[in-house]
Amino acid sequence: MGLSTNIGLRALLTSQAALDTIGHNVANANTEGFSRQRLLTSSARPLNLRGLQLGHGVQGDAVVRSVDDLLNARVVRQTSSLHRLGAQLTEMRSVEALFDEPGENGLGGLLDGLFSSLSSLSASPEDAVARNGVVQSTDDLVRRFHQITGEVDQLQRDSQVKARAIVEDVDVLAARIVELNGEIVRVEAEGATVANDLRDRRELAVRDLAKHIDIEVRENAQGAILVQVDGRLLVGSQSHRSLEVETGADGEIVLRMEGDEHPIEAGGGELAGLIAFSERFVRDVASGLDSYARSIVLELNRAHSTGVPLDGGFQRLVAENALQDLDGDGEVGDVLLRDVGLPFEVRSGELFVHTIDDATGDLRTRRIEIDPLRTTVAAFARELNDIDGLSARIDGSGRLSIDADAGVRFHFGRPLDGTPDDAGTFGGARASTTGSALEPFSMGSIVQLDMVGPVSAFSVTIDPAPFDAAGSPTAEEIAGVLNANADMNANGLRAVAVGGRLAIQTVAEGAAESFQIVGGSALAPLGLAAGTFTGQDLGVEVAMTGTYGGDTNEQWTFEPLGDGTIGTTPGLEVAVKNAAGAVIATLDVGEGYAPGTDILVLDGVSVSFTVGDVSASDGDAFSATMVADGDTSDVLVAFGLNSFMVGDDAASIDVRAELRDDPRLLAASATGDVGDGGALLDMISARDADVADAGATLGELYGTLVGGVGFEIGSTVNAQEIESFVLGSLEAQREEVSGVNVDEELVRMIEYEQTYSAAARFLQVVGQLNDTVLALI
Amino acid sequence: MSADLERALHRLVASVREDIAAHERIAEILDRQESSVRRPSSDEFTRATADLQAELGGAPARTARRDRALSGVAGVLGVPPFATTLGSVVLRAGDRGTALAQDRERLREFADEVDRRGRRVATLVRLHRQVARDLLQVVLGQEDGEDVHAGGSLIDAEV
Repeated sequence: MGLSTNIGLRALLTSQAALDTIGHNVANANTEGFSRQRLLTSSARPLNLRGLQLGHGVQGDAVVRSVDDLLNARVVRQTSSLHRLGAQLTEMRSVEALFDEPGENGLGGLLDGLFSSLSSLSASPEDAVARNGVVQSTDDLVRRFHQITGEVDQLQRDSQVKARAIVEDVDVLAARIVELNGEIVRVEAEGATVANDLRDRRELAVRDLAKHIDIEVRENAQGAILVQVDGRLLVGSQSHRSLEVETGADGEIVLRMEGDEHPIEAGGGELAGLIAFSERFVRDVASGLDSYARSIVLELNRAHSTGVPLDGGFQRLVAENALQDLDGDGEVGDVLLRDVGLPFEVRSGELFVHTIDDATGDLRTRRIEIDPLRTTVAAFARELNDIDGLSARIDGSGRLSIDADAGVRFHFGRPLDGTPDDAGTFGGARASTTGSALEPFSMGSIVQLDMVGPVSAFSVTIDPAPFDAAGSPTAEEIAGVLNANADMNANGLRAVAVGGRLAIQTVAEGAAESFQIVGGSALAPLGLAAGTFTGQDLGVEVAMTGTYGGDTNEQWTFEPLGDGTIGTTPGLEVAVKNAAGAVIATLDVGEGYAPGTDILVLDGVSVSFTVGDVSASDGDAFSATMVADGDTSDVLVAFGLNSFMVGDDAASIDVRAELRDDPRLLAASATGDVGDGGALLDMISARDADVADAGATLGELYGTLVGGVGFEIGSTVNAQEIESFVLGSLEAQREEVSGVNVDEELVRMIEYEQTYSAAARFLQVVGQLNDTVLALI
Repeated sequence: MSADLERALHRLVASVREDIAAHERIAEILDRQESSVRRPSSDEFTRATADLQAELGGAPARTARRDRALSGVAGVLGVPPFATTLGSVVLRAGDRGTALAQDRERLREFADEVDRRGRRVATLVRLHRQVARDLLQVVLGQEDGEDVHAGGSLIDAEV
């Protein structure tokens, strides 16, 4: 009787344990990290009684968790990946929101607004309100640049704050795992059992830790787990180390293990996402913004720097950008333009400087050749200084300033010289001859030019050595030598440069004026011919009109193709040659031509000639400079001369302060003519022109920047979806292994309950029947 | 002793032996039930309960046959049927009642066994049922403490 009671009690306890386990499962069905448990049962050890081995019923051996450690490890790794993408995505979306695209307050919309205001101004370039409108639009644009770049910086700083908060959480979780390690080791050592719920809690802590940073977990023989981050121990069996967040040189997040020198390379978790954001994404966006701002400054300044302000020119200009003495010798003048620390690159090209005499209206143009690898700051300043009426200097702050003499203005536009033959070398009233050779002239040794003037016969000796390019003097340089000769002056003669050729003429005009070139070794290199040259009473006057619309800067030289009288001599023509000597147009100025009538030459430029004799034999010629771009070297942009904007990145971009104070300085005109908005049109065309070295327009650059952000986000979203799907799949697998299906558990219990109810009724019947039988016995 | 008594006793012994077999089967079923509760095995318990139900289905016919056999013996012996027990028949039958006496003893043993096992299983079932009820009450019970096993309330859909 005692044995059967014991068996019954044991059975009852075992069944109760099984039901308790079911109840525990059901009660924890929604507990995060809970693993389903089940009771392992076996038959109890039999008893040896009176020589018989008697069964001793059932016994519960252990309650075990349904877990798959390999699956759990994959869930941990996948959790890290997913949270890295999640954290990254959250931050990136904040940046995307900053751009506010598409929208009128985005940079794209504001740049459109600026171009729109430039377009309005181009309709009436002198309009003061429209000029203020341009300044206002530009202000709006630069403010938005400052705002976005400031916000991006702030987001980067915020990501560090978040990283620090996460690191604190990592510390708490690491401490928790250490604590659980201790409890698990103790429980399992004392009870020789598995600490199911403690292990569940530890696994949950590990999974939470993996959300923050990717980890490697392994369990030691005692049941404690060791957690490593980037190969370094974060959690040991009895202690843990802390992570530290530092700020890198570019504001990026640097993660270190407490007491460890080398940064941690986080491959997963929110920390990895924040690091990737602060390090790569922010850098790319900031770099893109800087590049975009820089391109806007470059392109608009290119157009504006060669424009002419409302006053028709400058009396004084001071460069915005300071030169730097990068070779450190205390002298900035000897530094090449390439190496002088300017924010924009100086290229090989040419700069046209125009001076206007306020009294006479005379326009003089000086072409300065720029080679950043050969031209020094001092040489450039000297070139400017050599221009009549201008003086240039580098001030104490390293800025170039250009000042004009009183009554003189200057600019770098593309005006058309209305009277290109001021010197009268094309059928002018002076006695004159022009050499056929083009500069630079080839002079290997000292040469001599023999002439006879009204006063005396004389020779001029020319030494080719002292010129800038020894042995290869220019027409200007030879003219300088001749004009410095006392005999030339005494005989009333002068030399001028005409389109790269040398012309010699009398100072006085009229038919009574004459001189002779009698010979000398200089004739051949200069292309001069010996002969007697006589002036005329009625000189040809040349007038040029229109606006040059060509794509490249040109030097046109006009030469008669024969001797004759304008408008009279049958078949008299004028050839127009470019700088290379190629004929680009032939003008019929002989019989039938009405003197003074405009003849279209090319690219919007017309010329007219008054009556007079022209002579190919005397080498009559004049030249005119056709300027398409006043500065192909970008030296004005680099120095910040006549800038529209200043700065060279998103943080420093701004409207030039002088221009904001005085919108009259807005250089709307390309020529200086009233009503001309050529520079504005150049600025507007910058919208659709390819940005230098970028191979894209401003709009495309911005599209690439914003699109890049969107693409990054899109890619991350896609990756997140994939990672999320994989994690979901792993979680489902884990749920199958470890999860609690409440329905199943409840159905099982209800089945028990219902079966017990039925059984109880039947047992009652059995009892009644049995009582009847016993009563009969 | 008449031939009638002989026939009546044979019928009664056959009836008792049928009861013995039935009790033996019931005892075996109860044993399976008890085992399935101990293990626990819901399926086995359900099967055993179904077998018990089937076994109990044959009880009325068996009782009727036993009653008829006892009435027959009582009629031959001239005693009222309600006052007839197997013990009194054995006493009155004398030597001819030896087989019945042995069967009566076996029936008592099996009846006692069924009684013991029945009580044991009933106790187990009652306890398990209570545990299951408690758990269901905890898991599915409503905040107002209403028993989850109580039926639902009728509502007047016309209102």
